[in-house]
Amino acid sequence: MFDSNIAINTTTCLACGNCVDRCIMDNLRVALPPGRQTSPLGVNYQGIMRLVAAGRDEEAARELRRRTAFGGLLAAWGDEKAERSCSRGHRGGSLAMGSVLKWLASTQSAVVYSAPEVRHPSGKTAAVIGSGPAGLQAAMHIRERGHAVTIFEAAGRLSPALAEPSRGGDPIPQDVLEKTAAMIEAAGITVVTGIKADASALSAEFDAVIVCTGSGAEYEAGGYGHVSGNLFAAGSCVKGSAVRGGLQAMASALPAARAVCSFLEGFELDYEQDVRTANGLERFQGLPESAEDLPDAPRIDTDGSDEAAVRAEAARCLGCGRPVERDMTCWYCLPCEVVCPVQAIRVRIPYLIR
Amino acid sequence: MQHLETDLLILGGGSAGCIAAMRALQVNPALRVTIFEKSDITYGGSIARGMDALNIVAIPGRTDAQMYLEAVREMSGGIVDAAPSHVMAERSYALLKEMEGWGVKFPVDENGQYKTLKYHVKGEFQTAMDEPELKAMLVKRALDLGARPVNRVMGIRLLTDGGRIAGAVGLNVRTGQLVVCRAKTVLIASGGVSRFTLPNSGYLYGVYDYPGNTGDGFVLALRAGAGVTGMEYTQRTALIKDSNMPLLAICVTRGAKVLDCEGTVLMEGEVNNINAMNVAFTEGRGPVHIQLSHLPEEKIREIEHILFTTERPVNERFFGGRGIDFRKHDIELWPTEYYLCGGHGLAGIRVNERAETAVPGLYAAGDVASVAKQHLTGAFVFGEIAAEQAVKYCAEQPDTMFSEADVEAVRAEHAERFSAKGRDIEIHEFERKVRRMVADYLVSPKNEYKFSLWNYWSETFAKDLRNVAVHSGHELSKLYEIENLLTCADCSAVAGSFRKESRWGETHRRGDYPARDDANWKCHVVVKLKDGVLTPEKTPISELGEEVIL
Ligand SMILES: Cc1cc2nc3c(=O)[nH]c(=O)nc-3n(C[C@H](O)[C@H](O)[C@H](O)COP(=O)(O)OP(=O)(O)OC[C@H]3O[C@@H](n4cnc5c(N)ncnc54)[C@H](O)[C@@H]3O)c2cc1C
Ligand code: SF4
Ligand code: SF4
Repeated sequence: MFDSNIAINTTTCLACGNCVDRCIMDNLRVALPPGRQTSPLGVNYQGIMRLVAAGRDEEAARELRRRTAFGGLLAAWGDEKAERSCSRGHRGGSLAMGSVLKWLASTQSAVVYSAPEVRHPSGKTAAVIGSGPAGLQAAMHIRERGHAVTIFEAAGRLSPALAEPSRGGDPIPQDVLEKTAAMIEAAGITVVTGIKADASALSAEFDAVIVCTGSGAEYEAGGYGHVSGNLFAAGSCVKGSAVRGGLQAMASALPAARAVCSFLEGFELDYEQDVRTANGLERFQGLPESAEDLPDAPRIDTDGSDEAAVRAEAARCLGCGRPVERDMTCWYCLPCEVVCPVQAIRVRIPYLIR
Repeated sequence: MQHLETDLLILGGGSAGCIAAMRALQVNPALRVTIFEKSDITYGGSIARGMDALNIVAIPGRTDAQMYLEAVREMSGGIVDAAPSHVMAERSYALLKEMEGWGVKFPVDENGQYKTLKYHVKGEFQTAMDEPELKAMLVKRALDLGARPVNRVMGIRLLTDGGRIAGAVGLNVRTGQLVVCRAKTVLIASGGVSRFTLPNSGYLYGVYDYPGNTGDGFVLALRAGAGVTGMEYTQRTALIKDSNMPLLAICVTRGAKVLDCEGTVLMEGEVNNINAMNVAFTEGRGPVHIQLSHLPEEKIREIEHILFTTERPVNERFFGGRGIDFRKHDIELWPTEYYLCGGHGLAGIRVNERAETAVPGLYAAGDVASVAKQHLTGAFVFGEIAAEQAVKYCAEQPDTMFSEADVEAVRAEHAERFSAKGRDIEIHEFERKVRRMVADYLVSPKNEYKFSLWNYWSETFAKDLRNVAVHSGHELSKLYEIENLLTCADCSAVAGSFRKESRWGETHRRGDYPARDDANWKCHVVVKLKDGVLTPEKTPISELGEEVIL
């Protein structure tokens, strides 16, 4: 790839996008690695793999935690879509992303299940009805933005469905559920169980309400899960929803939760819903040049418990994503370098100035 | 379209904007403070990283506000209102102490005295500072207090209500979405006009001042009814050849010499004769160069430390790339692009010592405001003053509401621009041509004929603007930026043509009026938009105890 002003070390870059977020001239974009592009929760597997391969598990766990609060659940489910998109698929089998997640969830649980950094309190309140995957996701996302969140769950405990065996799958292990529940509590989210909440009553009491009751297809929702007034819905309680399985339900709650935040913060619902453009993300651009001549490396089968195997598997990551310079507007001021966790970006002075 | 509501809306989260947010929330923690920031607030603005000096500090017992006023007047051809500069100097020491409270490092000498340097014609006001994380520190404090940043949004229009400020419309520079914010007060803190002409290197963004500052605030204020001044103060600085990074003060105040091509010393130890460098160039004795080789190793190390860590860390790469070692080689300086700015020069929105503009509820601070050569000190002091005033204003004044028709007009124009269909001018080319013409017609040596030729280009560019192909939100934001550059250029033409004298050396030298004419022109030239026409007028210079005429 031709770069005049920035040089990326493609053997270490995590495709995390920190540099893009902080660039003061809007000069950079991330060419997404395929895993992050397809992962329903936007998990950045390139970053995770490279950090795990380098033995930097805590940072890897943080990169996971940055994209999702539910790394534990994700490790249990596996991220099939992301795995299928991996460029290694043609070269010895796609990366065992789920196994690496399992490794992190078990060895770095303090980070994977850490409570979010909550933004400055907004003074706004939101009610989330239902505590399945969609409800959990909605609650956490809204909470992180500084709003006060209360979950209402009709059953006697949080996320009852997750404890049951699901379509063709095992139930989520008890310890994952417990740690997830503890994280919800540590995030300062209020959980009310054993009450069948009434959405319209809550609408009067809270600044916004989002229904994630998981079935029934009873809500007619428009774009971004908006039902009417301050009422939103996500997941399979929405009419016409094609959501199947926990991961999809969780992902479907994201745009709705973003819309709830926009609503609470005074923005229209579509504000920056074009997440890619707003965050400077660009589509996967094909295999990186450096990877094209690499020898095939067969997939290493592991369930995520054997350290050596996990690291060797993580090391198969080709590093398909990276930042690119988009508009040649660099002022060579270097914040992008300051925020790069692996010193992978180096700003060269533009050729005209060198 | 997005609708927000706030008490204080700050346009620009740089030095002035961030400290204003901080101060407003210290005074009234319940105030709603929203910041539109064109880039990302964490590092955006002129102090992307650090800064090596707070350029104006009146340290008690050593210098004082009166002495500063005399110095800045002498350095500005007398065109300085007394009160704002005086108040700034008076508050500067308290500011330094406050910054120390945040953890900013101001080095002291063996006797525990702050290290000061001589940058002004009298008094050592420039105070050394060593803080590469200054911007990040400032931002964290503002956000912790509850300021709400709206990143990647640039202010494009102000909204008024019967002459009072009522809010602003912003543009998301990535998605191209519009954001309307109703506000009781607005502070413009969007910096100077950095991309005014082209730098010698030909690289559009290789300018001295932060290239995200494109005079947006000047134009916002003009359209809302405020005046701008000093637009004929088209300045350029002698900077490191090609990289256009500053280092003159850093080196000279530490003992370096500035020489012309014959080896004549133009300055040594003090930055007391910038004009001599310009004259040397015009008379064919350039390029001037800085010599450090006579300095002891420790001084050279000190200079390298400053250049390579705080001011513009990329300096190390630049000099390394060209094989320049200060122990052996001189540093070539060239004057390059011109810019307009109240931080280094005199151009800005007319403000008084309360940071007020002519529009009630509208304040301005930092490089966008007219306080002469105020540098970082001014951005900080007037950011604080503007915040204090805005808090008071919010408490005293009833709510306002802008007219929907005004918003609709912005929306319609935005929709019209956001398209590439059938348009054949590329935005970068448009910018390049505009800036080239500005350099051809609006800078010294100036004359009436050149100003009249500019009028043709001004009209042509206004038409071309409609023919620029806009493919993305990012490009759309560039189009608004260039439109603002054009309006600033028009102001500069109007003011430059009006001021029929030469003043400030090369900054405003007219071939047709080569002499300084104090009898007629010892006054400000203020430009306002009257019935859609940029109109210049003479405004007297105010003394202490007199009100600044806005
Ligand atoms: C390289 C360099 C070195 C310097 N060194 C020193 C020094 O050593 N000592 C000293 O005292 N001074 C120094 N200065 C001057 C000092 O940095 C400035 O005077 C001061 O930072 C100006 O602050 P400001 O808030 O006005 O502008 P900035 O800090 O530049 O902030 C303006 C902000 O507004 C944003 N913005 C622009 N347009 C819009 C819009 N339309 N809407 C929303 N946001 C917008 C920009 O993104 C930016 O973040 C230096 C300046 C430069 C460029
Ligand atoms: S050096 Fe500055 S402008 Fe260039 S890419 Fe990095 S942050 Fe952006
Ligand atoms: S260069 Fe650094 S900050 Fe940028 S995406 Fe790569 S790892 Fe992240």
